[in-house]
Amino acid sequence: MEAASKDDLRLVTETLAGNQLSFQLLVERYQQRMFALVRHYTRNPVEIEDIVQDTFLKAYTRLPSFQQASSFYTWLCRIAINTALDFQKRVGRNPVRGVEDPELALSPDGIEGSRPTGTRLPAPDARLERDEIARITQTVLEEIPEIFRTVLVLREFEELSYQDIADVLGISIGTVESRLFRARARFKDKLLALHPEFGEGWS
Amino acid sequence: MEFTCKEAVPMIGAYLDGELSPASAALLRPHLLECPACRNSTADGRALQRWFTPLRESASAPAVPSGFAARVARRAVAGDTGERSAPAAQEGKLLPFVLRLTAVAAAVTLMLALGVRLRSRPDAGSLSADDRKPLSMSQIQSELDRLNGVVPVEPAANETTPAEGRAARAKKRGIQEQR
Ligand SMILES: [Zn+2]
Repeated sequence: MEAASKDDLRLVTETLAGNQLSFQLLVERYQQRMFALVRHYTRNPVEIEDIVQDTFLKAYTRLPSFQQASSFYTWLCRIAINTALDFQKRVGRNPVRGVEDPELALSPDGIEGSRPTGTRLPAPDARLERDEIARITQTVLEEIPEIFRTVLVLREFEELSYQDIADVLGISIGTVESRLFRARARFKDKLLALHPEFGEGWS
Repeated sequence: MEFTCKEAVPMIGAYLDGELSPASAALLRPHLLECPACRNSTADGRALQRWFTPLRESASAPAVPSGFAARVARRAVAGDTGERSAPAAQEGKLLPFVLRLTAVAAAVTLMLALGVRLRSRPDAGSLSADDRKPLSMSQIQSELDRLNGVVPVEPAANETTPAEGRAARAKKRGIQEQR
């Protein structure tokens, strides 16, 4: 687990002492990354702003319980993800979560993808524009259950270590590993379902 | 004891992520050398990683509105906890509220229409002025702030670029690409 940086700790301490500007500096330090994280839960810019705002407001309220042994950033991620999911529930949107329990289903014999499938997913075609690839990837992510999307986002976009992902989600490293495994299989399946033209048989 | 594909496949992701323990990697590597199917899965995993790169590096990440941090810090100190109503309570309150709002809007529109009719000179601008997107809570707050003269116009905040942090984290994570 990555400990909080000295700078973060100083700002946290000053905030707790009642310094509003110190909290503003903390927000400024992490706001861009929070906006980038939350966009994986809604595309609406107004909703993204509201969710990020509430994330920081909750962080401020809970600052006294912040464990300084953990990184401020992973702590924020945890609040942001929960806020994004609560928001979706509140507005009556189903975040496609919990429809299955990947851990329960993960018997040694039941691992999906433990045998090579018939279709292989190549790297994106070099002729595709990067923006086009980004758009396709975002659409596919939105189509897979939240529990898988979140672990992929934390790994592929936030680039957190397995340990940090475990901290954010409150699960074990082994669970991170198995959930990522299933998430990638889901991503691949969904990508090929939406875009069969990208698949190719085993050569 | 034989190391099989069934054990190897779930390790491949962690292997590509640079997160496999040395002991597990020592089991996996010889297997990859002799197993074409698992080599294919490894190539698959590597290809999959390349689907994420453009979105990760995409400049289309939403921009932080100027003055965001100052606004949030002010609200936090003012006691806004960021906790919104529970789903049931919210739904229960929201609908009557929207209906009331709609009724008020209808009344206002009617009065406007009557006023316009009385003046017998319809003005397209005034009729479409209400046709706006709903405001978010934070927008409403910032509107109020602006009206109260609380918010000066601020330049966008300076920040470290995400790329810097990414490079540092990538270094920390170690080498991801194997030959
Ligand atoms: Zn094998």
